[in-house]
Amino acid sequence: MNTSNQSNPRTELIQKYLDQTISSDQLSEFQALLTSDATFRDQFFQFVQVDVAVEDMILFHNYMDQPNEPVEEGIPFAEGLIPEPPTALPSRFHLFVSRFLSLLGRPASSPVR
Amino acid sequence: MSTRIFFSLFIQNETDLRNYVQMIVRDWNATDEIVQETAAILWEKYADLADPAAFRKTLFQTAKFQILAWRRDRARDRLVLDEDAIAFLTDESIRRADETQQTKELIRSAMERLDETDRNLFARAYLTQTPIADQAKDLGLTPMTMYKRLQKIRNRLLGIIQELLNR
Repeated sequence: MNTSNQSNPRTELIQKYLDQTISSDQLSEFQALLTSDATFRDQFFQFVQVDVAVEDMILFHNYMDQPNEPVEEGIPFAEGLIPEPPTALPSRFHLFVSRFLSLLGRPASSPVR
Repeated sequence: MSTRIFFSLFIQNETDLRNYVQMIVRDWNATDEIVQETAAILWEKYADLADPAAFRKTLFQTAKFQILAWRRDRARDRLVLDEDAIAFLTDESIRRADETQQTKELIRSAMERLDETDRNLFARAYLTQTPIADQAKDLGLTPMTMYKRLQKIRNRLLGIIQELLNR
């Protein structure tokens, strides 16, 4: 779980919600932001996601071992510069693919962690 | 639907489902119970659902009712989201899970377009802890040749993905 940027009030609000230290007023504010603010919503979902890179690494191993099996596939990606996604497709979709593309642009001497 | 297909679909969605439940209940034990109960109900009532999107939607909606039941029991002793917020998060989680599957499908398509040798080399280079120089030695290549081949594979994948995105 991402715990960086603690000084950001919105990040603190999310952290308090997840830690269950949120007050009643703060919970109301949290719910209002969740339903009305797409940026806040994205931030929240990023907090609660498991480590996608690790998960995809495992899935990719499954794929390589049994390419004809009906399992999920994926490949790991590394953090990097993420280009702006075209607006025609969902942003998260492009974020994921952009991260993957950023991996492809990395030097061969620095494979995925 | 066969047990195999049911569990394949369930496993495909399990991580997203767990994230969804946990983001609302914020208790791993409760999350485990809700996910298990959801799987049992789905198997009992909707075992014929073979369409991946319909399966995902029903899975999350079933979990939502389990969460609401949990909420009724816990609302007295802890601050929990109201039902509207839970419904909103359910719809949002389904939408995001759909996108995740779409992305994985795209990456799988891209990987399948590589020839087997390149795919294996790529996987070995990025998924193992073995230094590139050692891998090159195992394959009878110089490290420089290995780096060049990996660069070529990355460029090929980059082109494939951009092509798929532009369709």
